[in-house]
Amino acid sequence: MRDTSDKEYVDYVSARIPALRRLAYLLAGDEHRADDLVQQTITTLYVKWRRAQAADKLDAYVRTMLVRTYLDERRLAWARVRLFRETPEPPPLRDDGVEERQVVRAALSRVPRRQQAVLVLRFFYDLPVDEVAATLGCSSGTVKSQTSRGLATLRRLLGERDFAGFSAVT
Amino acid sequence: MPSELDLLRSLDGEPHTPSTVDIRRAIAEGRRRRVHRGVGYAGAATVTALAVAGASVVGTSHHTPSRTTAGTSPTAASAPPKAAYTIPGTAGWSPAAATPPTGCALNRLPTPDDAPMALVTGADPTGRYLVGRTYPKPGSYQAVIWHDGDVRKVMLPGDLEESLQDVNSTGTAVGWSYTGGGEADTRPIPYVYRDGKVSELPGVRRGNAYAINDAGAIVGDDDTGNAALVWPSATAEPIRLPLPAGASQGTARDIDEDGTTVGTINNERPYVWFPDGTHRELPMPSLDGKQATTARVFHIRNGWATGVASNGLGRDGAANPSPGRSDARAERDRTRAVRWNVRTGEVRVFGAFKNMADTVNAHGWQVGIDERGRAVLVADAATVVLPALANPQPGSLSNIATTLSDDGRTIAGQSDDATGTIQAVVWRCR
Repeated sequence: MRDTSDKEYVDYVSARIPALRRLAYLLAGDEHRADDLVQQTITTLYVKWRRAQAADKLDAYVRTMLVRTYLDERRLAWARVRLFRETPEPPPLRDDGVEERQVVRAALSRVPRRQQAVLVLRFFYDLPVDEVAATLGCSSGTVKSQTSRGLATLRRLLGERDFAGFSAVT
Repeated sequence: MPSELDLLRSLDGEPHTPSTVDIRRAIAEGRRRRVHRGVGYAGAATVTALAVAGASVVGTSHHTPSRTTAGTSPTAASAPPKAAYTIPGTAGWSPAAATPPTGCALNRLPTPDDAPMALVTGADPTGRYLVGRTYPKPGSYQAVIWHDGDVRKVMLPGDLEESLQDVNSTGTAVGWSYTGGGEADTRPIPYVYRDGKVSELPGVRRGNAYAINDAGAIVGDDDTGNAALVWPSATAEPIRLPLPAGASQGTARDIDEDGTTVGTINNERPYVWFPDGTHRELPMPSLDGKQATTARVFHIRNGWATGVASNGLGRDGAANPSPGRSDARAERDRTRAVRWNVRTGEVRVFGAFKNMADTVNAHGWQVGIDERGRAVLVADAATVVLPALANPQPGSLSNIATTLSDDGRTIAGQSDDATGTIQAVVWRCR
C-alpha cells in the first residue's frame, strides 16, 4: 500500500520539479533559495500526500503550498538572516537583455513579499484574481489592491534606477 | 517601449543551475514528520501554561570563554582623528553576575483578539518587555508588545508588513512597517513606540530600525542610500556611520549598552563602530582550517557579538562553489555560528548551533537551534535544551528562541504547536 502510494508520489514530484523550481526561482530570486523552497514543499507534500491526492487540482494545491511556504518567511533558513531584502546591485551590463531582467528582478525583490507573490502569479502565470486569492488565502479585493500597489512600487523602483527604455503605464 | 507587465513577463523563469532538490530526502524527512505527528501530544489548542518537565542539561564540552572586564577600552585599528560623533550609551555599565540555569519551562504567550498565530521578535535585557507580531488572518500582521504577562497591540501605520524589532527596559520599542501615502509610495519606514504613541524616526525616506539601548539610541539603516544609521534619540536626526574605503553599503543591526554598534558592510564583512567614533572590521574566523570568506553580525551585548560566517556564500547569499566541488548544498551548509569579543578581537565558532545563534546576552550566553532542530541555550559550559510545544522536527525551524535575558532566566521566541502553527512562547528558567 505504502509502496504504491510512494511510487505515485515519486512519479508526480519528478514530473513537477522543473515547474516548481521555476516558480520558486521567480519568487526567491536565486537558484539555491529556490531549491530550498522546493525541497521544503515536496517534504510537506509527502507528509500530506494522501490528502493532497484527493485535492481537486493537485497542481494548484502544490503551488499554494510553495507560495505559502515562501510567504511564511520564518521557516526558511535564508530568510531568517534576512538575506533576501539585501539584494546586491545587478551585475554589469550585458548586451542581451540579461541586464534588463536583472534590474526587474532586483526591483521585484524590494517589493513586499505578498505583493511579489501576487505580481508573479498574476502576470507571469496569468492566473485569475480568484485563483491568486485562493492561493494566498485572502480576498479578491486584497489581491486587486496588492496588484496595484505592487505595480506602483515596481514603477517607482524602476524609475529610481532611470531604467532605459522603460515607460510607465498610466 | 515595454510596460511593467511586459517587464515582469521578461523575467527569466528558468533556474541556471542543476537541481539540488532531492526526492529521497523529502521522503525520509516526510516519514520522520509523519511519525512525530503520530506521537505528538494532544490538546495544543487548550494549552496556555505547559510546563514541560525534564528539560535537561547535556554536554559539558564547551570551555568557559575568557571574560573581559566591562569598560575595557576598545582597540582601534589605527589612531583616529577626533571623532565626528559619539554614539549614546551608558558608560561604565556592567551586568549583574549570574549563573547558568539548569532547566526551563515553556509557557504560551497570550495574543490580542485570540489571533491564531504569533511570534516574538525582541525583548529588553531583563525580559520583562517582549515585542513580536501576531497574524490575525493569513497574511496580515499586527505588531504587539508584552509586559509582565499583558499584551497590547501597537498600531504601526500601513497594512502590508510590519515588525517591531527590539525594546529597551523602559518599554520603548523600535521597528519598521511598509507604508505609503500613495500607491507609488510603498516603502519601509522606521518607527519608535513610546508611552503608547508611535512616531516615525526622522531623517530617512525609507529605512529600518533594528535595535535600541537603554540610553535610547537606535540603530538601523537607510534603505535608499544603503547607509548604516544611529539615531542618538527617537527625535534626533540620524548619524550616518562611516564605511571603510571601497564599501558601498552598510547596515547597523544592534547597539550595546555603551553605544558600541555592530553591523555588516556590503552584506559580507562584519563591522563594529565604537561610541568614540573609531570603527573597524571584525576578524574573519577560521572554518575547517580555512579563513571564512564572508561573515555577518546580527547582535551585540556587553561586547559579545554574534553572527554567521561561511566559506561558500557570496554576498547575495548564492553559493559560490570552489573548483572541484559540485555539491552546492554542502557549501551552503557551511554557514556557521560565530561569536566575537569586540573588545579583544577574539573570534570563536560554535558548533552547538546548526547555522547561527539567535541572540547573545551580557555573559556571552547564546540561544539557537541545534542539529536536531531543538532550541538550546548555550551558557558557558552548559547546554540547556528548551522544551517544545510539539516534537521538534530535525532540520526544521519549528522551535526558535529569539531573546535571552541577561540573567538567563527569561527566553522568548516561537514554537510550532501540534498543528504546525507558530505560537509565541516564553521559557522561564531556573
